Amino acid sequence: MIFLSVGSELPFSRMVKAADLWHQANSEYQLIAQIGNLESSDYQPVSCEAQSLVDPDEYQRLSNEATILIAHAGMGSIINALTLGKPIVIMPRRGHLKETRNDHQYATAKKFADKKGVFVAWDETEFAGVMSEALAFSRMPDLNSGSRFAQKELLDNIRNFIDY
Amino acid sequence: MGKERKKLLAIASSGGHWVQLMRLRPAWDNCDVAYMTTELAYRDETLAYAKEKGLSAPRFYKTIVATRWQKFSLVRQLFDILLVLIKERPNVIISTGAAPGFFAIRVGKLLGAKTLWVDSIANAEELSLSGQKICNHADVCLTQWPELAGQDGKEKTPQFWGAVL
Repeated sequence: MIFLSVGSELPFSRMVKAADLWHQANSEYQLIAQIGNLESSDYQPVSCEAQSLVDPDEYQRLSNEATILIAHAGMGSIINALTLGKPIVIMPRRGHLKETRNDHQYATAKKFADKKGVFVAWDETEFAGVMSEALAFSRMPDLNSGSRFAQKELLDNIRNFIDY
Repeated sequence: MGKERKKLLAIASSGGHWVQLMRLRPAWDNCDVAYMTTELAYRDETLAYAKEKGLSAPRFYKTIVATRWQKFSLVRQLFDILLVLIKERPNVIISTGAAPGFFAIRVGKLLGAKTLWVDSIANAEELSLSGQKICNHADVCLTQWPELAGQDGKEKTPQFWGAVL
């Protein structure tokens, strides 16, 4: 199963459409998509199993069961994938397209593009190719699963701050 | 040491901000902890963690979601936070953002709390908008990207102490 999430705030039609079109050509995979509350101008998926919002428990359950995650380049989604040790395909929302208020997701995607298991589709035209890479990666054994907590250095520094 | 346990309020909005806050929580295992966020369902994981570590159950407060375009919601959120601060009187306030953490640090500072802002790791090229505004008020303001440390040019520059990942 592949789980797509656009995050908890706004729809992300450009990515949902790319994923939905990919799924039409690759229907042997199950694609569950959390797509937000759509407005009439948003793309309505026809191929994947779409729902507007899922609660945190369901989000966690779907993330756990997925072989690959697909998400906007939001930190919550990326950290979630890294923590679970799942490959993730991310596509940044863009500021100039009014998909977010600035280009912070583009910056986030750039920072994480080199991380193992993170696959960036910079726009919808790259999506299908990047999915193939991620699927190939997911079939390799030996995925690093991440750790649950922050770097020890940061935790120690915060402990000192609290105690001081 | 025989010291009284410090009262700590850890506060963040939902999604990535909350995920990052949860990654920091071992830092306050020795404190008397209260959490505040915008999603009631997060309570379970705070209780599960306390149980797993043999800690006393943290208190949990919910406020409403508010973005900087929703003035009425922001006022309501500020009011919720004010009530919690008066009730809890935390010694230390730690936030990973966004609006709730901004309010809690602004008001908490006036009430004498020690305050720490941890700017989201998502802000890799510049500090978040709330981060830029809160940096002059929080006792310590952190960025998670070393190249952003000390670049603020204002009175209190962000520091780099490490990252949540």
